[in-house]
Amino acid sequence: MTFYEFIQLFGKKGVAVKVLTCLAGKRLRGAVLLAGALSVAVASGREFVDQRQPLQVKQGPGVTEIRRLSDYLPALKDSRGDTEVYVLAGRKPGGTVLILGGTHPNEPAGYVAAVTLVENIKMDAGRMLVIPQANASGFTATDPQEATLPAFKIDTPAGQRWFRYGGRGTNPMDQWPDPDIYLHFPSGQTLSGNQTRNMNRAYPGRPDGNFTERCAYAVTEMVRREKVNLVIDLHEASPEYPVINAIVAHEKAMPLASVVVMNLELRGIKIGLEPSPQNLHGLTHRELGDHTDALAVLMETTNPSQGRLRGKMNADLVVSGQDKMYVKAVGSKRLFVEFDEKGHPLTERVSRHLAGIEEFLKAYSEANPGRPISAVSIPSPEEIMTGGLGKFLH
Amino acid sequence: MIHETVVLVYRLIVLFVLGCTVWIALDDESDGYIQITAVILTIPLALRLLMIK
Repeated sequence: MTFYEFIQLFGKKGVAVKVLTCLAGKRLRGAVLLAGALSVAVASGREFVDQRQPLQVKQGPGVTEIRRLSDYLPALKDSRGDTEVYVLAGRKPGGTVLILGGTHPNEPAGYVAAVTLVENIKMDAGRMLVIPQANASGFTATDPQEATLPAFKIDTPAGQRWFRYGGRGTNPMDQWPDPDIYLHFPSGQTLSGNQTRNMNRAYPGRPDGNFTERCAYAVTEMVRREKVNLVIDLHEASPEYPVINAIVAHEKAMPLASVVVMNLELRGIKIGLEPSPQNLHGLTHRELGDHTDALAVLMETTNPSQGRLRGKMNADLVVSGQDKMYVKAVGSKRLFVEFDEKGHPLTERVSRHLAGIEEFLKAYSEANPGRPISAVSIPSPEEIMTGGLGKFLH
Repeated sequence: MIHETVVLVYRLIVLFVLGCTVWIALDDESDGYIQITAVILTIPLALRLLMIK
């Protein structure tokens, strides 16, 4: 179709002539530029909207029920804070463990480990509740000025599988503006204003608080209602952060965590143990430990892609964990973890988390024989390191 | 309710600013630099109006 034929579609030639006359000169130039801007807005808008696709988690053989976080706080229903809660119940009665992944969506080993659990394991005794995307809103946007990518891929036998790489906090579209100072409820602790969207500074939360506080409250309420005995929050940290490759435990959970650390060391997995600071509020291990009956711990692995000293940021850095700048930094004694050319690949980081969870379940069951929590077929570090992580992502 | 009201007010403000920039982009008296500046501004404003970014 020619332009003239297109014009004729208007029916009367006069209408098209009038439009073109109106837009003549600078107006026509402005209209053409605006049309270009509109196409850029549409293209970039589609990319942003695509980031809101929920994480695809396949239902494994051990999943007995799928709930929603909004089941524990109906106000979250139909919001971006609502997310799936996978229930894996064993045949034998026992205790209940809650696994939190994705509290910080820029720490991929945590939520990939949670997905691996959902898709592979079965419970023998007790129950496991798994939330792969605890801060689901944070998965819908990346942090500004960080040059982070929206997604990364992992090779699986069925092909490449994509995972979102989100921002550290709640999407500003869901909670804005940030105050100058964040006042934590109920402690009254003051933190920098942008921490108001950090879910791991929002616990125990409140039902009528801001968006992040409501999400945190739903998790706290779930811990109370489901009588959760043990909470394991999966995180990562940059290599220059002092609390790394470590377990952070509430004082109630410290005896249990001590046993786990010793057992992991016996397996050749180097790991530290840190007490949950009593004067730093809003974190899972502090608030869930204080406000519920659960034993609350947090595990950290090494994630070079979220560090300040990293080199080029791309999907390969997230998966391979190799970075020349960190190899230089370790030579300058700037890091709190060993770092060589092999880096810290996602396979290693996920297997550390899974080994930690396995040891926590064993230690808890030994300490509480009346409320055992035992799982079968948790992928071992050896299986993951030799067979690859993709083998366990279906 | 307060949240929805604030969002509505915010979008109305963005719509007003977007209207102004489109007007300037199409204005006969605007020179090329002003037109281009106005056009570039419309991209984030449109995304904000639709609450995409």
